[in-house]
Amino acid sequence: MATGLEGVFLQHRAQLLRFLQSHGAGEAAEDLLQEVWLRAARAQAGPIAQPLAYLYRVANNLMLDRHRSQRQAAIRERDWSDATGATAPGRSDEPAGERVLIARETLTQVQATLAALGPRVEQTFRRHRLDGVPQRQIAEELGVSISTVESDLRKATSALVKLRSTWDEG
Amino acid sequence: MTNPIEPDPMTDEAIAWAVRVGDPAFDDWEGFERWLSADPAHAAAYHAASAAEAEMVALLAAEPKARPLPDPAPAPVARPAWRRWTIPAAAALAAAVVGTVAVERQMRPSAPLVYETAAGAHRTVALADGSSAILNGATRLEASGDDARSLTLVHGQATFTVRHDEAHPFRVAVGGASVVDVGTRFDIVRDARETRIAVSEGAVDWQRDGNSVRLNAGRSLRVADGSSQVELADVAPDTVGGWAQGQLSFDGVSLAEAAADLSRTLGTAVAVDAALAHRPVRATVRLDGGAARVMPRFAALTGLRAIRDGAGWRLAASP
Repeated sequence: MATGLEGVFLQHRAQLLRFLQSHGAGEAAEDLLQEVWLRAARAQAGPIAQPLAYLYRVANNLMLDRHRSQRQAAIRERDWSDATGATAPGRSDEPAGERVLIARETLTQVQATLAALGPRVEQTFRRHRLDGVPQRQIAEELGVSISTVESDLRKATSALVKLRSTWDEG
Repeated sequence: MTNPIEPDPMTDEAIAWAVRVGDPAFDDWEGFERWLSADPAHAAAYHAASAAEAEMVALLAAEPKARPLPDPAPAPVARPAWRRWTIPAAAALAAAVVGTVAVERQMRPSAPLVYETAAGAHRTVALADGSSAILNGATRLEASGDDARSLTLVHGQATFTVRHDEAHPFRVAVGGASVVDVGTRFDIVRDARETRIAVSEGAVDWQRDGNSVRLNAGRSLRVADGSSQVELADVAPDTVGGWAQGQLSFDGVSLAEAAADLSRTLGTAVAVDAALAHRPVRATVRLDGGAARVMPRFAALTGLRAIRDGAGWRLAASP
């Protein structure tokens, strides 16, 4: 069953390896490529229409996950050093309990940031990122061009990335 | 460490790629690779932007849970028309809202609003008129852009709790017919060629081609597309929409229908041996624990065997 996907994987091995390297995989690239194959084979349910695009997608997600877990590890380490007395400059010393309350405040900020961009941008972003609707379909639903959808998504993403960067965390 | 990122071209480029790559239809992977390879800082910018955005999306995805405490003084918030476009936003945003009302007018008024769930997901939709719908998995519900009380259930299952308004009835179009509320809580299942309706409170009228059937609380209706035969049956009112409360009740439906309900609710394929497809099912099954728990539980209740079948399940006769 997996021979189709496996065939495509083996045929495009070098290309996928290059892609991982462009993501900054460095010396881990070979190991990560193995991980791509394991993930792809595990998740496969039924035939895949575009096997190469699917493998690229898996590789891309793997690199994003890797970045996230490396970052979280760094944050944990920093929080630990904060907890042991070293106050980082520019950071408030808030006990963990207060951060829970702050979570609600942050959601309000995210909602306000999206709402401030206008209903079409907000709707487009929510449909795409929360409901998983493809961009072309959103364009049809809202009666706008696909480039409008893309530009709305860029606006929303940009505003959220900016908001994120103002929060107190490295 | 906490310098806000100033708008810079590389971040903008990274965001543009994140948007493009984020579409399931994206296929310019080699172009993406060329951009990443052009400068090692590109990958870092892309990762940072994607991670920040994903974190925001995760916050939004937890929206209903993030507001567990009822507002101590629930100010009567006017529901401006644009709210149809969003999951209800926090009341605190009312101020931010004022500036956006004008924009809505420029939008096409008739574009339908589509609410969709993936298999296995649930979603509660607050409609602009104060009614609400809970969508089971693999469901698509459309609201007309002009009238929040006029909906279409394209496929799947939804339970409606309707704010009754005699002058402006709440209507759900389904399978070429209309279901019109008479003050109500009701559930509709729309499969490929069949509609099932069950009423737990009040009543609804099912209307097609000038014919009408009144369904009172505790009654259910089943009709195949194009068929003039409408089956009516009793249903325990407190089991209607039970999937939204963590259980599924089957009151004499065929095993094939029960399998479709399980599949929609659990988000996994559920096949049935052809010889068993028409066998009637009477059972109530709890939905906690995911498919791995629910399927054996269901099988035990119905005297069947639940067998893993690839990524899904198959229901077979006991040996």
